[in-house]
Amino acid sequence: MSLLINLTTLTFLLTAALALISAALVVGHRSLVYAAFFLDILGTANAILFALLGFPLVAVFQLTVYVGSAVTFILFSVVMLKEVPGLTVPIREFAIVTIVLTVLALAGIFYSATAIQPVVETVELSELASLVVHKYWFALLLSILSMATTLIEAITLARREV
Amino acid sequence: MVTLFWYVVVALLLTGIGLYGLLTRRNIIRMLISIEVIFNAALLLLLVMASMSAAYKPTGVVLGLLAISLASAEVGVVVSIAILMFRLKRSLDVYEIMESRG
Repeated sequence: MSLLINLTTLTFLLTAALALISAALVVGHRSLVYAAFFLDILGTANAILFALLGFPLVAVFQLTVYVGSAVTFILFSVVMLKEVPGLTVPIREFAIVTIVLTVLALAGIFYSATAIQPVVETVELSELASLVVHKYWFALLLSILSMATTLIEAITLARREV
Repeated sequence: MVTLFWYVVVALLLTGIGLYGLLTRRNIIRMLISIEVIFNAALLLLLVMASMSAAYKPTGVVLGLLAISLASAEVGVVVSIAILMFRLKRSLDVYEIMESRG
């Protein structure tokens, strides 16, 4: 049991470090191709964190849909574009103040959750399906419509109709 | 076992890094990628909240799945707009695109 707990803690620490380093490289790397690649790594690390929190279905969905298609789409699109030099807006002080204020505000909002242990029991798929169909049907409809819109837009651009 | 505090810390740090990229870059693709970092942090926070109680978990899973699918659609739309802008203006700099509009 204690070995399992230690393994979970170790996995969390490694994954959190991987996620933070990848995020820093996404923002800081000069090449857009490498930035997109590190976004892939960040998505994967986040999927492991979701699994550790007890959401294996969301983790698999994140890997297949988000990392597997969306971020890979960015990566391939970036390869097609000409690499442009990374221009920086000279508002670093303003950015740092904004970041500190935002992080403090979020920390205040989420402070209540900090001492709680995560509940890691799994959810029944039938319960999920029922929830999606009966309670969140409008969100599902919106999601399907947005996916269809993206598909049509991608086909239009690929055929160079615009 | 790791408490939710550490997950919240990771999510807040990711938000900070993403915000820094969003506020200091001018390249439209770089800004999109920074927004994706913020999205990952927001999704992590959503699931942290959902894992506080067994009663919230099903809702957390459903909202997480819908959020990921909508984020993927958003990526498709924004990258398509960026490709179109690059084709028309030969630039990905948002300032240049703003100056040459109309």
